[in-house]
Amino acid sequence: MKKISIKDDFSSTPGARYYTDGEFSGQEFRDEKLEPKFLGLSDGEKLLVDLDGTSGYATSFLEEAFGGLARKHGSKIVLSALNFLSNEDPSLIQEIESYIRNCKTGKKL
Amino acid sequence: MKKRLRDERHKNLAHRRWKREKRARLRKKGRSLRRHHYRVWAADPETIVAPSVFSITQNYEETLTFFNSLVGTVSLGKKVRINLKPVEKITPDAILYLLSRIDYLFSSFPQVRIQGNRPDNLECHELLQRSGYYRKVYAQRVGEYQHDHVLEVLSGKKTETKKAESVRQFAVKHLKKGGLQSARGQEIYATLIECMTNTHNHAYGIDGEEDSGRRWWLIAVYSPLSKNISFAFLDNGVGIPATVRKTLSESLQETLMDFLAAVGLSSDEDFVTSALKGEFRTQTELAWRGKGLPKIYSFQKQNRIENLFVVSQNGFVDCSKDLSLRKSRKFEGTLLTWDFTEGSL
Repeated sequence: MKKISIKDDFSSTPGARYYTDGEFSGQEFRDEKLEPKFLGLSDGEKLLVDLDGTSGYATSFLEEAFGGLARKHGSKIVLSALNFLSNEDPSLIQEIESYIRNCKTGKKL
Repeated sequence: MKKRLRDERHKNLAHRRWKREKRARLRKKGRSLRRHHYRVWAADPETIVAPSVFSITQNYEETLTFFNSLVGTVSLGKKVRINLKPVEKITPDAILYLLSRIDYLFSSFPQVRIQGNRPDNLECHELLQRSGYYRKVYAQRVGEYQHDHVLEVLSGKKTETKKAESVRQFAVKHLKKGGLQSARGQEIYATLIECMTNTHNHAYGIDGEEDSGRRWWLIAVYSPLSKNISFAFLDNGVGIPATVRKTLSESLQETLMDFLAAVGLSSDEDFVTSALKGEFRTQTELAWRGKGLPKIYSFQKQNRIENLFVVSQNGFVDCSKDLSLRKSRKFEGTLLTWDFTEGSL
């Protein structure tokens, strides 16, 4: 299993949604760290995302990083490929999984 | 020949007389202008008295009346003196709004002269001292602030993670003895990032001000007595009711509401409550967005933060009491205040 730690591999202070919102955005994390690792997975291999050790997460960061990945590659594939570790706040895992399930690709209200 | 010379001399004399008279006219005009400026400069300032409970969340009407008087008086070109002597209680939200209004006045009316005094109440004085208020107004000497219970007012334009982290560290430092681990306080950080992002993306509207004008202000105050930290976050944007996505019927209704607002009726409090509950009101119209305010609201519901108030335009929502009110006086922008206590851990 491959592993990615948001604190060690990206930033201990994650920001908001887009590059334009400011530093350490969810889009930046997805484009530069998460997606390359995700695309590098071999068949059946999993990626463990370690959420611990940061200052906290805004919903927009989590949604754009993980929901955004699901919008590009599909919810089922992303859910089956990613595992999450969050000892500090286990509720984050449920929250992220709901963003992936309900990513609603491009759907306008 | 002699006649021609005489004519030229007359012409020169006439020209010199004209120039002399012109100089005299200008001197007179200058004197009059200088007199006018002196009259304005030397005139007694108009005194605006702050209420004894200087707080938007606890004394909305009187506090907003004070701010309206302040802005109205300066708009008329008058010199102003802010009298804070009677203030016996001041909350972080009022300090933040005061500083942002003064910034607005200085940028909109560069000639403005604002003086001020200090409250008799020592605690209120120290809060203002640490906030940087006295540096903005011409006030009597006030000395140095002795404690570190107040985080100096921060402001920014985008989502600034370092500033949010410095606020979390401030909370960790003060609440550590009460059991807050340095790894905790994610609610504080997440709430601040949500607020900053809302300001950057929504507070000034899609077609609103340029990035340079999209500013937020933040203050945090630690109370050793109640062992809590009070936060206030402010932007001077168009407000939540103007930026939430409205249904067609609501848009039609809005035309009616504009009329009703003129006679003191509006539904801003409903729009604020709706945005807090995440009823698909993001103006981006993308279903996966608009989760920031609901997240903050959920922290309140889970008691991870306490005493959450949201004030925007005429809407006033006290989330801890599930109370939403329509206020007759309009608040410019959006204010969020909340407490983080040891009990929230």
